[in-house]
Amino acid sequence: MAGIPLPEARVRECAVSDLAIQVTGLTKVFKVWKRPSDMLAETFSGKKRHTEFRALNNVSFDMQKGAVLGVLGRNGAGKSTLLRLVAGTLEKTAGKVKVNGRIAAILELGTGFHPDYTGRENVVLGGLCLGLSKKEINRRFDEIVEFSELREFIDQPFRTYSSGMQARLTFAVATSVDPDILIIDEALSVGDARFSLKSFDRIQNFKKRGKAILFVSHDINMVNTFCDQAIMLERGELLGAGTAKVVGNAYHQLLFGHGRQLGWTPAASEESDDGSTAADLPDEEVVAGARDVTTTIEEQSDVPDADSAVIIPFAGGHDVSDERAPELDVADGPAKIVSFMVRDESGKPVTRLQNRAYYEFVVELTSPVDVQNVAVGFTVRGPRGIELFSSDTILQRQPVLPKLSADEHAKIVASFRNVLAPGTYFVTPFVGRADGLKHHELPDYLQLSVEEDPGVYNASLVNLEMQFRFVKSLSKVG
Amino acid sequence: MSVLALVNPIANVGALWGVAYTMFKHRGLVSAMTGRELTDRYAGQVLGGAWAFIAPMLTMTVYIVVFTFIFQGRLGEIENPAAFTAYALCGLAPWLTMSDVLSRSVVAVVSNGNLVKQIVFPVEVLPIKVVFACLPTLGIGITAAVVAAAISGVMDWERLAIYLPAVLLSYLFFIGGLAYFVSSFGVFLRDLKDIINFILGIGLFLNPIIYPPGGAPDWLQASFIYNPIANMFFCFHYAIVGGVNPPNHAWIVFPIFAVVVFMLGWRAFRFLKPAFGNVL
Repeated sequence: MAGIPLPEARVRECAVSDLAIQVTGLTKVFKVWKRPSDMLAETFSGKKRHTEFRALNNVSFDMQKGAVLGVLGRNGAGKSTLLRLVAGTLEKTAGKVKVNGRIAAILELGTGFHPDYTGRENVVLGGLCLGLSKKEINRRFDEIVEFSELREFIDQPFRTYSSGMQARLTFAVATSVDPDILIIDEALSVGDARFSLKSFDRIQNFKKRGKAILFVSHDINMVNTFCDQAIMLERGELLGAGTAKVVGNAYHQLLFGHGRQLGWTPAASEESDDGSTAADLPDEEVVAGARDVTTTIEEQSDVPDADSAVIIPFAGGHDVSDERAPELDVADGPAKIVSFMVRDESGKPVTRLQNRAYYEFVVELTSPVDVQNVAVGFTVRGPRGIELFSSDTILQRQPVLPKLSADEHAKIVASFRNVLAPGTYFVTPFVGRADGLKHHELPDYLQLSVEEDPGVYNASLVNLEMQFRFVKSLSKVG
Repeated sequence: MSVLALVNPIANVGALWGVAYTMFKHRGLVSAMTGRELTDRYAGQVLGGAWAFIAPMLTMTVYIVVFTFIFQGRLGEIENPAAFTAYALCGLAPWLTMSDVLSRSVVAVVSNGNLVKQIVFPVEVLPIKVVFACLPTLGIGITAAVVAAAISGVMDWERLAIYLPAVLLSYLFFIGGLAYFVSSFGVFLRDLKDIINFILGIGLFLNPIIYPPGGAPDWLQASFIYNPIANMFFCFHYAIVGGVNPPNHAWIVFPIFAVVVFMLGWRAFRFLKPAFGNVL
C-alpha cells in the first residue's frame, strides 16, 4: 500500500505541457465474478473464481489541449470503459493514462443529482460533488440557471423535469465547473436543437480557452458538429483515428454499410482489389486483418474503386448491421438482386450523402432462368417509416429491361440528385414483374444518412431548393 | 499485504493526514451531504427533524425502563435508580451511535454507486458524512447522561472535564475507522449489513452497557479485560458516572485501539477504493 496519500489523487501531473490526455496501451480486463463476495474470497484464498472479459485492448491516443475529441463506437465497444478509465473512476489493467489538469465528467445524465431535491438544491449539491466550493457555486448560480433556462422551474423537484430539462441542468452544472478536461457521455443528445446550439457555443468557448473535451456519442452528426478529431472503437479495439468527418464516415460504414465496402484499412482494400469475393470471408477476418495495422485514416486514400467493390455479400449473413432480418425479404420470382449500393459521382460507395449532390443507386441482378419485362425500383423511407419516394423503371417511364437471360448478370444504375434533407433514410431495392408481383425485394436494406446542412430547418425531410426572388410592388394598394 | 505493511508507521500516520485533508478540502461537500443525510432521513414526516432528537430518547427510555423495573436484579453495585439511569444513558449513547454508524456506513458507498462510477467524486467523503450525521444522537445521549448524573449526585465535574473529552476524541477515531472499514468491505461483501445487525444484536448484552460489570456472570466479566469495546464503556462510565472503578488499563487499551482501528480502516478503504468501480 502506498505511503502518504497524494493530496489530490485525480490530478496527475504531466511533463508534456500541450497534451491534455495521453493514453498509451490502455487495456481493461474485467474480471467477472458471479457474486461480489467471490472477489473477496479470491483475494484471501488465491483460488481463481472469475472469468475474464477484455473491454479495452491496447488503446493509445493523444489529445491536445484545446481539442475536442469524439469517441464513436457501438454499444459495448468500450467507450464508457475508456471514459471511466480516463476519468479515474475505474482501475486500469495495463497501460498508461496521463491526464494534465482537472477533470469534470458527465458520464451519465443527472449524476450526483437527487430526484427529490429541487433544481436549486441539486445545482448546489451537484457543484459540490464536482469539486466546486460553496462560494464558487453561489457566484455561478445565476449563470447556471440562466444557461439552463430553468428559472421558473428551479424550485421544483428534479424528478418533475423532462429528460431534456434534466440534461440542460446537468450540462450547465458540469460545464460551470470550468475544468481543464471535460468528459461528456451522451449527455447532450436529449436536448432540443436550440439547446444543442448553445451547448455548442459553450464547447467552442472551452476550446478557445485551451480546454480539452472528450465527447462520446452514437450520433455521427453530433460528433461531426462538435469535434475536430475522432477515434472509433469496436470490441475494445481502437479501429481508427483521424478527423471527425473521416472517422464519422468510417463509423457509418461500420454500422450500416454492408460487408467489405468498408475498405478503410490497407489490408482490407488490397483484398478487394485482387478480386476475391468478399462473401467467402467472414466479417471477423476482415476486422482481424485490420487489427495490427496502424489505423490512421486518410481522406479517401484507400477506398477501393467502384468496380472492385460492388459485390456486396448480403447473402452470406455477415452483414454488419445485424438488425436486418433476411426473412423479411420478398422473393416471388426467379430474378434476384445480387448486390445493391449507393455511390457518389466518383464511383465511391457511400452511405452518407450530401444534400444537393449527385448519386447513383447500383443494382446487380441475375436469374437462374430467362425472365421477361423486368422492372427495377426503389423505395425510400424516412425516419418514422414514412414513404418518401417509391417508383420503378416502368413508372418513371425509363427503358425496361426486356429480357434477362439465364445466369446473365445485369447492372442497373439509377442516378439522381439528392433532395433529401439531413436525417436518416432507408432504401428498399426491388425487382418487379409485369404482373405487379415482385421477383425480389430487400426491405429497408440500406440505411443512408444525409449530412447536416444549414439549408433547411431540422425537421425538414426534403430540400425543395427554392429560388427566391424579391419583387417590388409596383403600386400601393388603396 | 504483509504483516509488516500493517504496522508501517508512514502509512498509518498518513491515514490521519488523509482524513484531515479530505475533511478540509471537501468541507463544503461534507457539510452539505451531512445536512442532507440528516434531513433526508426524516423527510416528509410530520415531526421532521424532531425525530433526530425523539428517536434516540425513546430508545434509551425503553432500555432504561426495562432494566430498572423489569430486570432489576442485575443492578449490582448501583443502588440509586437515578444513578442507574445516568449509567445506562452514558452506555447507550455511544452504543446507539455506533450501531447507527455501522448500519448506515455499510451501505454508504454501495448506495452511492452512481457517484462513485460516474463522476470524479471524492468517495472518502461518504463515511465521514455518515459519522457526522450520527453525532446528534451521541450529543443528545451524552447530554442526557450528564444531566442525569448531576441530578443523582454522582457527578464530579473535574473528572468530567478531564476524562470526557479524552474518551469522546478516542470514540470519534473509533467510529470513523469503523465507518471506513465497513463501507469499503460492504461493497464486496453485501451480506455485511446482516452480519453487522447480528453482531449489534448480541453486542448489547456482551458489553457492560446497561448493566454494571459486576452484575455479569464471571466468564463474561473475565472477557471484558480482553474486549476493547467493553473498555470503551468503562471509559465512558468512569468519565460521567464515576463510581464504578474501571480497570486502569482501559484508558490505555481503548484510545490505542481506537486510533489503530481508524488508521487501518482508512488504509483498507484506500486499498479497496480502486476496485469499487469493478463491482458497483
